[in-house]
Amino acid sequence: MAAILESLRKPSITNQPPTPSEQRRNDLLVIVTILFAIFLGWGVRTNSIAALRTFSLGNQLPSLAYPAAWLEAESDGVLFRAIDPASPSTFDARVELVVRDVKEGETLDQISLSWPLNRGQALERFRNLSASVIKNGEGTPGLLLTYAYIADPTRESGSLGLPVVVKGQDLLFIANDGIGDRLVAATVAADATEWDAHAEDFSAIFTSLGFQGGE
Amino acid sequence: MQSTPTADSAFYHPDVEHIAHNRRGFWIAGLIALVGLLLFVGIFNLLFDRIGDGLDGFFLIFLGLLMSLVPAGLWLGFFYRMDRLEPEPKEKLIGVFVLGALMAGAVAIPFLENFVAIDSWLYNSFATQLVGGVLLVGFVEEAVVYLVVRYGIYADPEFDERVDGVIYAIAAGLGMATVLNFNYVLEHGGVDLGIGSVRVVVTALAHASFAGILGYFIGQARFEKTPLFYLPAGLALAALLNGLFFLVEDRMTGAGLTVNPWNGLLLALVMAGVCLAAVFWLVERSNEETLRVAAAKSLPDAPLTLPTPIPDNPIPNIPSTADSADEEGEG
Repeated sequence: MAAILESLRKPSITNQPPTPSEQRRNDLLVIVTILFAIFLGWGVRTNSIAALRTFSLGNQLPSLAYPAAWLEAESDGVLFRAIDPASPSTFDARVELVVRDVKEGETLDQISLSWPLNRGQALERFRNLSASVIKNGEGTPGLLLTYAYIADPTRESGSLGLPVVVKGQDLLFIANDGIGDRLVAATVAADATEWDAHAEDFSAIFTSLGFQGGE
Repeated sequence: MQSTPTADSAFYHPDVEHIAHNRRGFWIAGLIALVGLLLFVGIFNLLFDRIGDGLDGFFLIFLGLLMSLVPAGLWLGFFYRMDRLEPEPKEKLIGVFVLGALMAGAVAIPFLENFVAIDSWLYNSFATQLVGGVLLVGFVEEAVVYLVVRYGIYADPEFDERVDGVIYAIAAGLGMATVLNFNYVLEHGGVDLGIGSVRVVVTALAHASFAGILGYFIGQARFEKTPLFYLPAGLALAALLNGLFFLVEDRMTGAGLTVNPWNGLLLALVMAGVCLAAVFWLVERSNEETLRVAAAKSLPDAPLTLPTPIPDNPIPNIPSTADSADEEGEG
């Protein structure tokens, strides 16, 4: 650094032009410098894209991790919501979280029956695609529901965007926070045509809760 | 005075007095262009601040594109007015400007926006914006300026003065800034003419400043044996300034949902003023050194005397012969 500052303050004047080999050396060094900077910058990009933020579900409950580029969004009826502002679709890819007390005598089996019914009433043209029971590393069972529905995200704003076919997955499991059992419902959803593009993000979200899904 | 390329030289090399010619007109033109740009912003924001009202998308885009050309037009225009005695060939200067614009449109913008998808991750955090802004945006944009000058004009006989590195690099930088502004106008379907005029000027001033710094290093490396780190350091310095400037500008102009472009303009003016002054000082300093070493070489055993005075080239502090010999060994 001192040499650079010194050469700026008082340049070393030779009055000799660079020879062809020195010129080639200069060219090569500049190109190597550019490529090295881009290589390092690509590393920053990779880390930034893979970076996750976390949202704590509560004491003794797992934390939800979601892509750092996603934005937290206000929403009624859910504990947490984050959307991907870079989604090409008018329906932003998203994750939502609901945590509620487990009702007296309520089991995951009962929830597996009632949950799709509730979804069917709340979502337009709801179609259940699959349901499966999965387990996390500690053997806790979880219910993974995959479904589709029609959303019209531009309608409220008065725009003329077309309705969107949305594909979603709900991961339901019961966890104890030291006070009592809680039902945790994590939902990921995206325009069905962009599902594959967000599969890695969704997988990372479910993995942070201890389950595999979102694929 | 020109000579033909020699066997030990990569390109044409004129005599040292020619290399060390100071172009006062260029610097004065730069200062006048700065004032002209301020007037341009003032016109759109104070006198005709309602001019864009009622215009539809097509006219806003058209006016936005026209505005994008103003900074380059002002600079080139004043440069020609002030530098009429020894101007750079108009077609070569405009050629470098166009080449800078084409390279920005064909390489820099597609690379950064499509391949790197810079907008989808750069603003995730302060650190990402700083490091990514320098390493990717800064280096790629300054590499475009370097490559345009290096492979567009560097070997040309018209590149015969140290300050030509600065002149042609600024032309390439303004070409790139023009296309960046075009891109911004088209992506946003036209711009508010008041804010747009500020943005156009900020982008142009900033890129001209970074290019000016890089141009000094290119001019120096064109006519001198330079250390290994010299050109890469110049490129890195320009890229660092690029990344830092747009980070600070982003923080100064945007706060929540409000945008205050005047902060960005103030920053760009300070940046351009400091860079222009620094490059001016560095070039003059290098020119003095060139002439001093030439004088020392012409009279190796005799006490040094001032060479024939050259307009605009004051030569202070002629050192002893021993000192001069030391200087020669530095390269």
